[in-house]
Amino acid sequence: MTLQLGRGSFSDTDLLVMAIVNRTPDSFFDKGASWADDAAMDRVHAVIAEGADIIDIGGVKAGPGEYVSPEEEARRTVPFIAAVRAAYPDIVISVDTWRHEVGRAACEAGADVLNDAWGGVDPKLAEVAAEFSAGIVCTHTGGAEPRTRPHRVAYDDVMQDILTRTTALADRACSLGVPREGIVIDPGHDFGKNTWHSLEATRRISDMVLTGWPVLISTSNKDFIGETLDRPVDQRLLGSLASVAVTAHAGARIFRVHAVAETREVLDMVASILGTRAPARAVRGLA
Amino acid sequence: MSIVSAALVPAAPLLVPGLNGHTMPAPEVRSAALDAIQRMIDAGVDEVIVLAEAVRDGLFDSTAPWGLHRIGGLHFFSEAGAVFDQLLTMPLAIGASMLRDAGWTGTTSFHALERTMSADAAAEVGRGLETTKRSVGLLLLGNGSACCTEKAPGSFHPQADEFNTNLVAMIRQGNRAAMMELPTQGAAEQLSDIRVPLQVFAGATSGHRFLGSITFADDFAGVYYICATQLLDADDLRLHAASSR
Repeated sequence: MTLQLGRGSFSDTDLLVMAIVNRTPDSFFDKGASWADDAAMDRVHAVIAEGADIIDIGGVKAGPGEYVSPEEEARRTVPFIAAVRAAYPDIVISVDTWRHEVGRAACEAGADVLNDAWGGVDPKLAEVAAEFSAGIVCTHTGGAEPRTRPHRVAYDDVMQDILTRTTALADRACSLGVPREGIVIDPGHDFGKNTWHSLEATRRISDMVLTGWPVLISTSNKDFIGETLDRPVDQRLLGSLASVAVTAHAGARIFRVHAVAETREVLDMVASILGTRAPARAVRGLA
Repeated sequence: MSIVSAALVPAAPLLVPGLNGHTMPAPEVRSAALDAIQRMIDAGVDEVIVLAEAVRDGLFDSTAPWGLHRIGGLHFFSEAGAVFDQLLTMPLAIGASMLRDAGWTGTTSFHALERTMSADAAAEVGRGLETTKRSVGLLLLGNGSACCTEKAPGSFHPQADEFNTNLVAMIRQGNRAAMMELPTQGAAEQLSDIRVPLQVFAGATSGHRFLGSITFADDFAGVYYICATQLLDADDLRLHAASSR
């Protein structure tokens, strides 16, 4: 399906890099590296230069922590979205939020996509997406509340649960008027899942691809990679890239990451393996 | 029938070998848990009743199949071809696997206990435990607070330490009155799943003296694990033996 994420239009074979830009003082990986306005804008410049297609801006860390009010979340994200929009009129901007108030303000400031990483916990968020003809990411969390950790979660069939819940969210968004080509589904690695569940979701990602909805993968530096390889949070790049390669080959379309340049290179390689991208240079045996 | 012993162990999936990866992350907890179960068995039990909190009540016998596939353990089943909708709940399945690993092959029944059950209702369940066997051991599954640290499943709760300290004291002393006073809301806030099994134990053993001993009490990954046994007092045990001749 052709993707239309706000002002961004992408072909069926494009593999898209969504760059994470956290406006938080306490996110699990970068720990506030782009908390300051200048640092955040520097990161935007850098990731666009490295090949990012989408800038994903978030104002609340995913894990438990100090309460962040909707007003504070908007204060962290909305002016920055406006600044990025002014600097890059054509780049696709996504806002990582579960709250419709923040989503509305973000769209007014120029956001193209609402990245609903907590899977429809605020049903009004999809209504905002429809109102602004914005894209929306429909994420599986297994019903987890925002900013909670999984505790002995269990599924009869984790992929079936992912399919049921994400497609229901996608269908609902569509029925509300969100443009069909702007709706994306995400298995929600680590969200409401233990490591076994996230590995199975990765292994069976083609089941999601077969639904016809574009699939977004957000595995970058997550705990399931750390547990699988026994690596601390600052040593998970290779595992993250492996998950990108496997899921891209299986048909996933968007990859939300911290390491943009490395991911771009992996995706270029996968695209060439798939036959959708010509090699940069093909001389060997052809001279 | 008479309850002659009880063991308390966590219903933590990470205590199941293989389900936790290449290496057992908390071998000392598993060792203490198996030790507690062994002591319960060694008290001369000829039936074990396994008790764990659940979304809803349920009763299963020794033949109930169990599996741990729902938490990702694809290859952990008690038998091939188990029918999924008849499987034991996850905590009961962990109890079954640990009983098996402790070498227990005798009669077993499994009670899933609704986690919102009141203390009085739990005690009533305890008084109503029925068995044809003479000497019964109770295997209680559950943990203390799962909010011991910032990285805990429930993140940090300021009352976690107090909750765990009280729990350890009542278990060490075999203090059934204190067990009956464990707060429903407080236990839920701490993500603790031991309240109802302890209150069933309190109801089942009312009027008898039990001696508690703890083989492990500490937090791991933010969850407070307690491994313990409760053994019928020697005098009560002699009375029980005499009455069952």
